[in-house]
Amino acid sequence: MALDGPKQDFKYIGTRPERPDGWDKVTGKARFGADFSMPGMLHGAILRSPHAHAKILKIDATKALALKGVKAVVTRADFPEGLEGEDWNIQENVMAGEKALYDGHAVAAVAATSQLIARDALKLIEVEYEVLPHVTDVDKAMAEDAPVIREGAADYSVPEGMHPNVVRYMESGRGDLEKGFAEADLVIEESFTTEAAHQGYIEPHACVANLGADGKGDLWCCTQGHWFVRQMCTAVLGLEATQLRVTPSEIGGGFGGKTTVFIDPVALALSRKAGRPVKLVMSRSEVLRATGPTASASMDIKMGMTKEGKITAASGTFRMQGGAFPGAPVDVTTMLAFANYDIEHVHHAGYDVMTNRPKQAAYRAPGAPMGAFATESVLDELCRGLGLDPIETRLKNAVKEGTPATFGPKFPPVGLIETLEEARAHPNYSVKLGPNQGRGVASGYWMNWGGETSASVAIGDDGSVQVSIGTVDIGGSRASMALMAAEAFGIPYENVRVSIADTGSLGINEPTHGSRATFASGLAIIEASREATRKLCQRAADKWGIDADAVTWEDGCAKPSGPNAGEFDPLTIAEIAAEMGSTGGPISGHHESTPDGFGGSFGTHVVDVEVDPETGRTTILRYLVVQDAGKAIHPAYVEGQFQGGAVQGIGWTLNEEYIYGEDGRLQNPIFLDYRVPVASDLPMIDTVIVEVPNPGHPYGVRGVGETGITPPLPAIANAVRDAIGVRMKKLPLTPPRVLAAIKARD
Amino acid sequence: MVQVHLWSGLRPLVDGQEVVEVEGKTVGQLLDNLVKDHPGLKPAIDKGVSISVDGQIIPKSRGVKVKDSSEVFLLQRLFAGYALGRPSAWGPVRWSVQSSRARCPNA
Repeated sequence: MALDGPKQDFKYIGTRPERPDGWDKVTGKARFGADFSMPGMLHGAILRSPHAHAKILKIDATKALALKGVKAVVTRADFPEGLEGEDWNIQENVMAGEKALYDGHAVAAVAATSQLIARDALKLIEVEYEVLPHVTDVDKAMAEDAPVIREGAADYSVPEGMHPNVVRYMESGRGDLEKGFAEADLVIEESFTTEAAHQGYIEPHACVANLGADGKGDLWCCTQGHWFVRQMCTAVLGLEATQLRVTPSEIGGGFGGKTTVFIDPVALALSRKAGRPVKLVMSRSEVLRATGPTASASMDIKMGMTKEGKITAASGTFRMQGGAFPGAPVDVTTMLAFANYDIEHVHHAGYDVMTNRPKQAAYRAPGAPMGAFATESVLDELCRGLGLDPIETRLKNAVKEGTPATFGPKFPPVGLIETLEEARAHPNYSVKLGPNQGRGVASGYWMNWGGETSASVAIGDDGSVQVSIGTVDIGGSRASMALMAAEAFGIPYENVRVSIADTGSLGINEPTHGSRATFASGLAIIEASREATRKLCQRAADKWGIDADAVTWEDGCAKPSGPNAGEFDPLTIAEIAAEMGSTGGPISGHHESTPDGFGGSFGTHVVDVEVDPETGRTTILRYLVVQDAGKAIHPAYVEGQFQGGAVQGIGWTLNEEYIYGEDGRLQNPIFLDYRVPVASDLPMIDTVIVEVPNPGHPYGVRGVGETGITPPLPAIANAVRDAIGVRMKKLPLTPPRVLAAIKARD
Repeated sequence: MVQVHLWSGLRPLVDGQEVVEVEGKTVGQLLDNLVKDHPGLKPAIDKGVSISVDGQIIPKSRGVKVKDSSEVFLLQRLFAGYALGRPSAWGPVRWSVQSSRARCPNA
């Protein structure tokens, strides 16, 4: 939804003021999910299945209910029946029905007067299971003899004869693959796998629920999207949507994993049954076992290239498991796997497969990093085989405005070429490497998102501005929103306060997801501010006795638009606001829309590594992120997003993985064993912001949150290949795996 | 008539056609007429698809104008960074009244 075309000259946009939530967060004043309490509040705890796949024959809570302090026990019998589709999937995931489908699946929950009593009560609940065969690997889950997770879960797209665990199939492409591969001087075909990784947010899920028997309630929780929480909870519990008010806390990270619900409906069900507020807080082990990591993948890639470096054809088959429910993001994987390049002959096939693992959730650019790992690794091998420079080769094939995307439509203005040129010119690309060191390059893409959005601005009686938005602030977006309002009103940044409204105070907002918050809420704020400035101009026109069309808004003041409008001194926003009660009442602006003009963002990463030949340990020596931001509203937070994506990608590539034992149980459900990178593991991540304005946003903004995790997997794998001379095709590149590859090489 | 390009997985549902022509001045009219003129596409559109018009992906706005000369592609339903199941693209609203008023035996 282009408005007046991207603005080019800015007073406040592009500056780096302090974030408004900074002091509260560093001094401990900020209130996160677990910090909220209510009088008379009970504490909840959840009993989880120790089996990967088992029939639940009987649940007896008699002894638990007899324990002093226990006020309620809920099982699936306390939830509505008759749900369908994704409503049923969510309900089944938050509380098991006839079967436990993965290690950690909730089977019952207790509310008691203390957390200790609640935990003791869990031990008194007797559950009788019939253990069933399980499968946790995507390829094994598709095999003929694999145990069936659930019959009838497949949709229309799955070809006849496939295993019932295959629940969706997709195929897309164009051209003539045979012809394209025949035109190539070198064709490479390889298979790759990636493991499931968790978002690793520092703050575990936490909520306080207060639901009455009349179906009216409140929920305070840490979430990326409280309207989503409202929608899911009311569907799962059989409530009317607007009878539940959801208020988000400050959030200690989400990365997609907090766009759905795990404990919130359980807390509400306990509260409804006990008649008191109930607090539920997950442990780290529960977070890893029973929330939503991303999918794991198994992929076959074939690409052909001429000796001049032109890609002639590409095909990929992508198999992804998303746990015991449909929903692995293989549609996005297939769509974006080759999206960086102009390829005439291309084909993708994708399989969404169920296994006995937790229901996957979104994780930063869901589905894109796995596909990029496979395709950008093969591209790197083609460059090596033909003696070509990886950046020059990417430039030769890079998409630009008007290029037909591998997924169909022609690209609007995009900045891949600009990111490649900046990477090539950066000093990191010419640093001389030493022994056991290697350099890797990769590019990546994320299409971004618009989504349902509402925002309001209200003028205070001193001329300051209150902005209310519905997208939770995860990465400093309140600062960006304040900057956009300041720019639109022409007032100082410090005169704007931004609040995150609850579900009872604004129209529906999709979560902070899809890299949409700065784009969509920002656009809504700019439009709401323009509505408010039109009203401010009207008040000035009324005072001056001239037509409103003869008044313009500039630098925080209403001014006559030209000499014909008359001679009047400008009226500041503070002067108009001071009189607004007697000149027509409060002044505010609103905007509601589902904006479509979100522009995709390309990025290119260059990484240098050193591999210890004695241990196989990979050290990141230097790391460069170059990415298109359209227009960086607050450059420090754009750089932060770039760095955060790179760091999470480093963890996913080198260490992080879900490890399941033969018994189907998660072997590493704590941060000691599930190893995320920490500051001491990393060099400073260098960043370059490219700005190719997005014509769909008044200030040219593109989302920047997700692209940054797409290139790291292949960039690091390519660097390790450069260092050790062996192509690693299975992630993560743990020291034992790299050491084994070095030994096999020698 | 607007030419609508189909992803290859849909082509078997319309006798192998890569492009189908339908009437429509808006995205919503195109989708309605796709189902009407090509009933084989109904399961896919009911399940949810995205659509692009002249290079811009339109996740859900039925009112977006379409010209006969527009470049239109049906795309896989996109779940850009969020959970499966939200009616984020085309397709039925799964959060139905029937669902939300489902019987709760123990409440």
